[in-house]
Amino acid sequence: MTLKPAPRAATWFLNRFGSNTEDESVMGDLIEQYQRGRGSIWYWRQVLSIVFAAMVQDCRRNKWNVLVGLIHSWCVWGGLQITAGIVLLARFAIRHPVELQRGINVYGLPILALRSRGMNSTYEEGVEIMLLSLVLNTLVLIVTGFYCSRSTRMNPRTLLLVFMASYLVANIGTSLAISADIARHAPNAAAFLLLRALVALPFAPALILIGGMRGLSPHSPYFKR
Amino acid sequence: MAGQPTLSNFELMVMLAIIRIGDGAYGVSISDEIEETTGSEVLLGSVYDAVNRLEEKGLIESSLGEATPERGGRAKRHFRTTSKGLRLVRETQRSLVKLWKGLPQLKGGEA
Repeated sequence: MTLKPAPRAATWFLNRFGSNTEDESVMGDLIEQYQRGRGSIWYWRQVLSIVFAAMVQDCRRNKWNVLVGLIHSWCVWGGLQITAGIVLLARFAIRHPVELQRGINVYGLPILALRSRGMNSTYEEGVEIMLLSLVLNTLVLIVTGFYCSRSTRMNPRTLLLVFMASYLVANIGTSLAISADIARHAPNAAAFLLLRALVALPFAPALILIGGMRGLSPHSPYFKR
Repeated sequence: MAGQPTLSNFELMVMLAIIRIGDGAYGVSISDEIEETTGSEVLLGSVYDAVNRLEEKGLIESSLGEATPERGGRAKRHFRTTSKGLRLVRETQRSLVKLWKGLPQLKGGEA
């Protein structure tokens, strides 16, 4: 019997994120329905609903583990962000030792000084700083994703998804707040910032996912227990 | 009813669908049954979530069935109600009927 092949990406997503959703019967139900002529959109919707339901179920069963894991993950993320800030600061200090003192005097905290827009534009290093920040942010997200999937006693998929969701909410909230603040004196800059945040939005969960991929593998320590 | 598990609206629908289908109730047939009865689409994720909760409460039990080619060689997970589940459905029905009785707003079929 020849089966119509189901959307591969959706099946992969289900296998990775729905790994404890009761053996293979779930996949069998999906395949059976798909063979009856359902479309790819239907398939994706079902996969997302199954993964979401499994995540909610895990959260319900392991409330404290999720909460503690989430706090730990945010702490790791914060620690890595500060480390990334220090790297930027060190780089800046080597290049502009005199200006660094001025930056600290003007902006107070050195890390804030380096990350501020004014500082970037003053030294015409915007692009370079942006690229370095991008690389560091990428590393921070990958390492946090890795931590999420390796540190928890529960199914790593749940903590990874919850962290991804909380990161998205926090990121959207921060972008909106900053844009609203800037919009009062520079509406165009605010619109650009918002657009940039919107374009960058899908990359953050993807990077967290890449970092956490090893923990989601069926060969990871959690699934071997 | 103190200490006894309760049923949400959707859980009750799933329980009723399992009872109606009888032997051989599984994810797809349950969602089909609810879709046919209510006329609205049911996500498989909601069905699995509900059956897992019902099984945790001891209201239904499940067993793995045969693997078929149209399912890509995957087995079905069959569900059946337990005596505790049937008792709870009956009690829920009685409570709902009592609540229903004597409501003038619901007579005549117009909202």
